[in-house]
Amino acid sequence: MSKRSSRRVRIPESVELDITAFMNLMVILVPFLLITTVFTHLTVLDINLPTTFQSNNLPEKKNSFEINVIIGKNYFVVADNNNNIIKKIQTFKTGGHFKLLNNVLKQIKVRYPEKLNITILSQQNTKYDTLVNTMDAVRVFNAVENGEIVQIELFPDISIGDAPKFKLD
Amino acid sequence: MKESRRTERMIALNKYRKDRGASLNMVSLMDIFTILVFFLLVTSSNSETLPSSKTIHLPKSTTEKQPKKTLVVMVNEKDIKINGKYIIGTQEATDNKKTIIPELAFVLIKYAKKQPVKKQRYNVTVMGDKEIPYKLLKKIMITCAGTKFANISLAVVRKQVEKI
Repeated sequence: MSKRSSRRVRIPESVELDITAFMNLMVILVPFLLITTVFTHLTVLDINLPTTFQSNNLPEKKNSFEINVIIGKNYFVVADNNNNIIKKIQTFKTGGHFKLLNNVLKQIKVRYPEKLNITILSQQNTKYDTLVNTMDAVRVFNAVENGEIVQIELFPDISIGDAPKFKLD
Repeated sequence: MKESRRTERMIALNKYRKDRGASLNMVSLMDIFTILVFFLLVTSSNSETLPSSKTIHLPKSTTEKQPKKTLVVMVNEKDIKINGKYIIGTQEATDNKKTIIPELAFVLIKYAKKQPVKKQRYNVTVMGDKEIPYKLLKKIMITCAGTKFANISLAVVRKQVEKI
């Protein structure tokens, strides 16, 4: 009996921490940070636009090679500035044509490594979304290096223009 | 009724507990809060320069270029705004027969004059809804270029690069 009681005395009662102040801080801080956090990161795409003032002073280069990507209704056409068609790509609803376009441009980049500019020629009713996706496809291509995805530059100087009115059938 | 010794003991224990006051176990709550606070502190570190608008659905792109603090032209299905100020209805702007949008040009010229540093080309960010046609976008871009806002950035939502 005496043994038991002496043991009971020795066990200290668990000390309770007063965490009220800490809880107050957390309760304020958590909703505040939740409100201020944005989960969509906005970025920008730059486009190359000559001012009317500048375009008049540019010397005409006739023999230079320019790449054009023409956005059609059911197809994408990669062509040079003399209307020689390099590749015609059928569009898919799933968006697979952007990948094909990317691959075609990758092959062109291999042949012209120092070329940086490209022109996207668009139809009047082309959606902005399609335009941005096309810009993405011509700008960079994604490669895996050491297990990490890196973006390798293709033609980052993008100009935008109207598609020529000719039939490709 | 005579109570058993066990019942008496239970009553005594309940009384003792009631006197002490119930204690909540907050350990798990504190764990969650601590993790949450650190997570939010880390994610909210980068400051946002572009205004967020719920009426504009921006297209997605894999670009990683950060937006600069510039003049913002917002275009959705209903109206065109500059820095949140209404300029003209989208339908009206699309339907006019001109290559530019005069109302937009008028306001842009005013902004160009107000710029503190005089330059040949000013920066402008266009936040366009992904459904707007190229026709309208072209008009906006020509208008911007014509009023010296020639460095145009298109605002997009960052998309994670797909696995190959």
